[in-house]
Amino acid sequence: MSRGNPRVGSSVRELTRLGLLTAVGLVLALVERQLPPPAPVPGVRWGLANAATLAALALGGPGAGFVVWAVRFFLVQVFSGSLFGPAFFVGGAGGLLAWAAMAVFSHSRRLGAAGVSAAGAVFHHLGQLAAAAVVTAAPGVLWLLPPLLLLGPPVGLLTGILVGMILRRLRAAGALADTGAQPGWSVRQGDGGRVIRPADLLLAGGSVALALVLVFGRPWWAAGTGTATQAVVTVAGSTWRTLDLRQDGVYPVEPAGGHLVVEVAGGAVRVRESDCPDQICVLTGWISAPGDMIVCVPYRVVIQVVGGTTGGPDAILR
Amino acid sequence: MRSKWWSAVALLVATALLVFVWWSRPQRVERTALLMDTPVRVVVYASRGRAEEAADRALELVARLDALWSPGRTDSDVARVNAAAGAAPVSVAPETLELASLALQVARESGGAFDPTIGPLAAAWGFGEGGRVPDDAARTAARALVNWRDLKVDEGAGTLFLARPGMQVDFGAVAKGYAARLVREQLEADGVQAALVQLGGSIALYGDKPGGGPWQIAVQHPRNPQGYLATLSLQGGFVDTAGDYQRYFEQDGVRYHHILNPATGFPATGMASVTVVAPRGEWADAYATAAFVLGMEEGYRFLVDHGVEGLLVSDSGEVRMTPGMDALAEVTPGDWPE
Repeated sequence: MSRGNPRVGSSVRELTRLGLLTAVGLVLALVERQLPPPAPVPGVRWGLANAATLAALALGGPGAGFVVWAVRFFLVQVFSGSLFGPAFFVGGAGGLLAWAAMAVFSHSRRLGAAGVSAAGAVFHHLGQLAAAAVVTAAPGVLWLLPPLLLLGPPVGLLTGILVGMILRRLRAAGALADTGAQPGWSVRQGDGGRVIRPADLLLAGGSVALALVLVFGRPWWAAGTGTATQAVVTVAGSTWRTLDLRQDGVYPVEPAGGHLVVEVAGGAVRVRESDCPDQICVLTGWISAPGDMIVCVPYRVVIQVVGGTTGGPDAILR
Repeated sequence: MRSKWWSAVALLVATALLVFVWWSRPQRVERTALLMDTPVRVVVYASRGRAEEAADRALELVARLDALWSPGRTDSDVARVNAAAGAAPVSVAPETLELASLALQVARESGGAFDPTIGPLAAAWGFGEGGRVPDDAARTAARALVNWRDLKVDEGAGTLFLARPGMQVDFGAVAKGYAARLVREQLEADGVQAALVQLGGSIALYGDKPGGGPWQIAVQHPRNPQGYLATLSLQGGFVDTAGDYQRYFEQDGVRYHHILNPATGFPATGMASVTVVAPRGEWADAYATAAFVLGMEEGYRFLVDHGVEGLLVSDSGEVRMTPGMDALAEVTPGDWPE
């Protein structure tokens, strides 16, 4: 963190700063839980709390960023009672990878705060998804990658722009004069005024392009194009039930340690209620297109809409 | 500057790669035609270009076989053999020779329930020209001309010979299944990824269906043209249905269908449809007819003894399946009229 800063009292200052940033991150994380997600895709979040991590990274380097993230993450898990549960590992894998990516990308001279944040968002989703696939024992969860790659960068850019603007204000006010080792983008004075740089957009665009390739490539190899006819509910990797979407109904699911209610109506399916701490499955809302998915990580429940066999038989023997 | 060049080149290569992958992805090509007196349908999955060519070649093959086996064309192998019945052996194409051998084999196995010399009886009943119930004399005379033992295959000389004048070969209950196998083999050699070949009631499946899952083959309900009797989930192979609803006429309020029992000279009684899944097309086709003629008990045993899977439905709606068919078929018998 503080690399040979000669000034007396700087460590106290730094400790205070990290403490404040952690508190800010904690508050943002709790506020975010009250907000509806930006899109009805499991795992997509506003990533507001990441702003604190990003700021710490900018002001104090990778070490500071890690401390701010880790303390906040741990405390949120304690508060929500999901410490060392499935959600802990999924969130942890995402957060750790996001931090690592941001630490690496912040060395780039071309990227601004927005680009670093977008990279963090993308890697957060990668880590989260990989861990979710392991925890739910449903490799199909990886199909969420395209929408997450699509949605991650814009949301990440937004958070990054926010942080960039705040840093600019702070710098203008002279509040950053004594910060220790910093990544290139936070101290560059030349175009420090720009909150978003071309390279930021390029990075975000690359991720979106990759997402589009995956989306359009999907019909080649994936089953389940055509009309949605069924929803497959898996609990801890084994199929619990295949629900007929043409038949309305309410199905209570009792996964280990929890309770959630799946509802089918009008050809769509949703989790009507769940007593899980993060409520992501409930907030995902109704899904009805083949390939759509609801994931409840704490209870290891995955609901996926599958297409009928393209509507009819391949041939009819007459 | 140098690094800019490199990234431009890398981008170009990546784009070209993507375009190539997109371009060479499997394509679905479907062709239909009216050949061998039945609707023919070929569905091919292969890379662009190859799929179209393979599908066209598949239909060309069916057309060629039709030219060999159509009894209506005077220059076909079948017409020439029939014309020379009791007179002289006729040299025929290797495919025709093979077809006759395969047909005789099933005739032997089924004790004559399936008979490739059924021609005179089919002609007496007038299937193909509206149909009529022949009088006893005509029927008896025609039946006397039906005997597969009098069809002589000379592999060495490459000839077919009908021993008695008036005899006629009729490969109607084996030709489409055998043709389906030949088309499938050609598509395989053409390097397609997957294919479905349908000649009327004969289907050949090749490869894994793109998009995953088994091939879904529906079997028409014998008493409801809009309904399905069953849906079969197949990974490949051949499937064939013989049904009393496929070709028939009514006279004086009685329905007469086209699957004739060589022993009685009348349409076979007792069954409504027999569906056979077999590793070879000619077996699926001929066994379905043989089992239909043999009836529920004997037909069931015949199919089990020959190691093929069958779905048998009696004309009162009773459904029976061989042990292996149970796993392949989802049966929806529905309503059965009295």
